[in-house]
Amino acid sequence: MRIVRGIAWLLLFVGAWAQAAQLRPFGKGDMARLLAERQGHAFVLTLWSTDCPHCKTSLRQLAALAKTHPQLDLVVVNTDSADESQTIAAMLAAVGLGGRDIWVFAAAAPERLRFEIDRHWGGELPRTYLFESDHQFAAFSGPVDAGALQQWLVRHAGADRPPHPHP
Amino acid sequence: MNSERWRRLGVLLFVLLAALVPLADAAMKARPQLAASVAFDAAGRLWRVRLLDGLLVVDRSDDRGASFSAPQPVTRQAEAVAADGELRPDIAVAGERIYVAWTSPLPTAYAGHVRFARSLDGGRSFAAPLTINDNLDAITHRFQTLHVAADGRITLVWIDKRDGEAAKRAGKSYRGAALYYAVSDDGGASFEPNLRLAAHSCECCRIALATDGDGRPVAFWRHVFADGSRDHLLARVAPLADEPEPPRATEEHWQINACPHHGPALAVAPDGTRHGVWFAQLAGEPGLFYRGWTADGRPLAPAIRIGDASAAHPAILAVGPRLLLAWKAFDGEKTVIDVIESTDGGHRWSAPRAVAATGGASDHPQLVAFRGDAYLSWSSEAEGYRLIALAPADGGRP
Repeated sequence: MRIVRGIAWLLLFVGAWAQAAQLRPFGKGDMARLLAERQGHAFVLTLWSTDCPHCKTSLRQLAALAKTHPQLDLVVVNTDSADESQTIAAMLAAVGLGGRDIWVFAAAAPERLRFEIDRHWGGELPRTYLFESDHQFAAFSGPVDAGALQQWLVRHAGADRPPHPHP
Repeated sequence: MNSERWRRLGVLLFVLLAALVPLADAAMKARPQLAASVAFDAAGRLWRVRLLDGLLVVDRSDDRGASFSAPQPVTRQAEAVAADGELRPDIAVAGERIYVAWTSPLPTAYAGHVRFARSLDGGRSFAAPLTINDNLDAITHRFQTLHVAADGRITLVWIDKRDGEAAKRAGKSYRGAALYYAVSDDGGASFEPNLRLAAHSCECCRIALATDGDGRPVAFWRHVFADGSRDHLLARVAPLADEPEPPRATEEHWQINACPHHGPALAVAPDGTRHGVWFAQLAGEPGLFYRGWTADGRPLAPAIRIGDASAAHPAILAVGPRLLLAWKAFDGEKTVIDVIESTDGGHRWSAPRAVAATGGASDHPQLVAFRGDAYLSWSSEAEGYRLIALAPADGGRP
């Protein structure tokens, strides 16, 4: 019986892993797709690199937020490259953001992706965007300002609504 | 085994599998390590260092970059070498001596060693590399910059976190990282013990070194000031007092608790004036700024903006009466290298001209000179390496 339960746990975890932690290339046009998929919905986009000591602090802040707001639509995008996927996955797991989609920059020129995301972003990291439902946004280089974050959460108790409407 | 144990085993397996995750998508390839550095020797031959199939190699062009000799490995044993963006291998040439320096990243995040190797036989062979940082903890010793003076003194400056780590162990906080340096007066056979140039540097921006009027290296780097702003300091390579806080060389007061990954560039003109270009945000708008200083570091004029909001990763070169500035811009489709020029010491500049472009990945631009001629040195994934002669711009003529 115990063995059966153990195997059940195992399958559950393997299943969760296979479904959840997917490597998603973030390429040309993906920012527009991301926005289109979230038409009318507020969400948080954060960009980070394994080579950025300040990113860990910011990822931990967002991980804590994701924990207290399970419905929060948080898109985490790494700006390194897929060959660093093991380091990327390990760092995300370490800060408490394991088991979710792992977006990784995948265009030949990162300047193209920066241009598509935000022309006023110079590439400094971490960079986080609080998107409103109409996709106006507030951008933060470094940790997100706690006051701004709180206000955003109040406006979007909707962080509690599922990001994609049910059919 | 009880169910708790099985659950733990499950969690363990989950973590192990999660760590292995994402090798899946073959469409996603590694970021190309395109960073190459070049230097002319006295005969006008161009020496180049870069990564080739994971190996650090040096080769030489006798025809201004059109063709290169067979690549010569710098290290006998392969080691990790950073050659991307702000982290590039350096090369300097003095007669038959070729000096190469690089950062070898360690598996620990942000950790690396500063490495140096020399060839005494015109690049035919390289001596075993030295590790220059004398603190060997698996922490940050990265973003090295190499300077070789006319009298043969070799200086290496890098970003070092030994003080920050010591502070952390003592339960204290530490602002940013530090700049450390080492000099060799025996042609790179050995280096003096490490010294601290400055406390509280930015953690991940390249350091600019140029040759001051008297032949000694002068450094220009992004600093973390006590108010949290990341402006720059300009100082000779010598221990710099932390208190009182040194005066800022740049004054955008860019307040961020983040990694810009945008290091500055510096050149010293024949008249001893210093000329710097750097990245900052001012009034919410990112971009590049230029300013000149007298030989003793007093500003010549207020900083001016260079290029548009996409301008980044600049290079600057003083050659005779010419001052040239190059940077990377993105026009929505292509990455472009724009160049401007001044012949009156940085007061008036020509209109930008696009001298090279690519649709794909590319290195930061470098500017090099041989005698009176200026060149752009640039690698891009699609087009390969290019050395482009920069003829004087009419707009820059007085």
